[in-house]
Amino acid sequence: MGVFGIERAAYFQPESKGNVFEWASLHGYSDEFARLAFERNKINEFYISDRTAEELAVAAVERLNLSPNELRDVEYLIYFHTLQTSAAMDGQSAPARIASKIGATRAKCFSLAQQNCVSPMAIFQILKAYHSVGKFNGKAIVVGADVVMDEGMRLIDGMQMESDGAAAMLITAGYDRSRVFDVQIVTHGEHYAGMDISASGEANNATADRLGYLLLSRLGRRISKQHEKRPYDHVVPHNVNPTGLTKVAQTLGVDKDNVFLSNVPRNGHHYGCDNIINYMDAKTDRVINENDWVLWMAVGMGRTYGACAVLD
Amino acid sequence: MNNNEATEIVQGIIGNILQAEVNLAETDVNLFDLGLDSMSIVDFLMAIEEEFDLEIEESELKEDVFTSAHKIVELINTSLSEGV
Repeated sequence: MGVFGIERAAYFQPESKGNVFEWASLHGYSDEFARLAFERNKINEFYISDRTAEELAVAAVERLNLSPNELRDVEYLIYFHTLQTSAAMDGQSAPARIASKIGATRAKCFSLAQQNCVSPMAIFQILKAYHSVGKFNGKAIVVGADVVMDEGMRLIDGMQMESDGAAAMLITAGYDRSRVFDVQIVTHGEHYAGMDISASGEANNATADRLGYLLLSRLGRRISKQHEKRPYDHVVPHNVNPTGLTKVAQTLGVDKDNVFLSNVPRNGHHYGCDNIINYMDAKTDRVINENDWVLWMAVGMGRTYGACAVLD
Repeated sequence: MNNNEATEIVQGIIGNILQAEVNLAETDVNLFDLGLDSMSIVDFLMAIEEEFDLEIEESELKEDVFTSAHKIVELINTSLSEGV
């Protein structure tokens, strides 16, 4: 039985959108490279923000529509991000600034970053640990945001196209819908070879690729074996390498049609926010329904693998 | 189960996955060189765990393990003896 649930979730995407082919042309990629990358990524558009990650995070939390009293009762505000430029300046605290702006004045604030796209799942693990020692019995806001500060730095050759945006969740102890059943994460130092293409001459480490699917599949399988003991009804992956993650889902007995990818072309890759956004979209589209057993999957840069089961 | 028996079982599993006859008598055969790839390695390990009724910890799943049949058998024996 999960000890907490996702009571509310919301996301915020900026007003401006870019087209991936125009972007590739502007930034010196050949048409052929761009075509291959985008065929593999399934992404056509992405979001561009002229605001900071912190501002987007505040906008996402505001969409949770919490009253001033509810905000005052929030026990924790936990901020996650991937990019360094999404953190506050030296000597400041992005989570504390966000909490202050939204009125979560009693919240204990901290951030989690370097689990990258798996950060929200790592936060679930932290909340679970807090709950087990009696330090989390109420509500927590989990909010993430990322903004690429230099357009030329958006990655397109890592089976993705990075997109600016933010997502937030209200996590409530004892909430019995959208229960977070279990989270499994592995960060395997053996597989990290870095992503510095210019230094190594290669985009990805072959070792990491060869064992990555294996690790991800095992995490999902472990949760299933320990809990519901039935195939997942849906897999909600993050928006990177949709072809590979669909294959991983199939190793778990999930039909490819039950891997939620329909919003990938229009959204791009919102880093750690992907799973939250995709989960919400799948519910809005009525793809996920009551009692569905759903697996979130993500792989973080730095070779962090995460799987999280949610029972709706 | 001795190492030869375990190696034979591993050999059979790989043969089934690759749909080809394989010979693991040479203990330094790299399983990736035999033709296993990033997806078929998933099937391989699932079959190993099912056949030997064990669960191998993620921390044990390193590239080096797949560089020889001998190391796979060693890992199987370790996992069995630890009752994981």
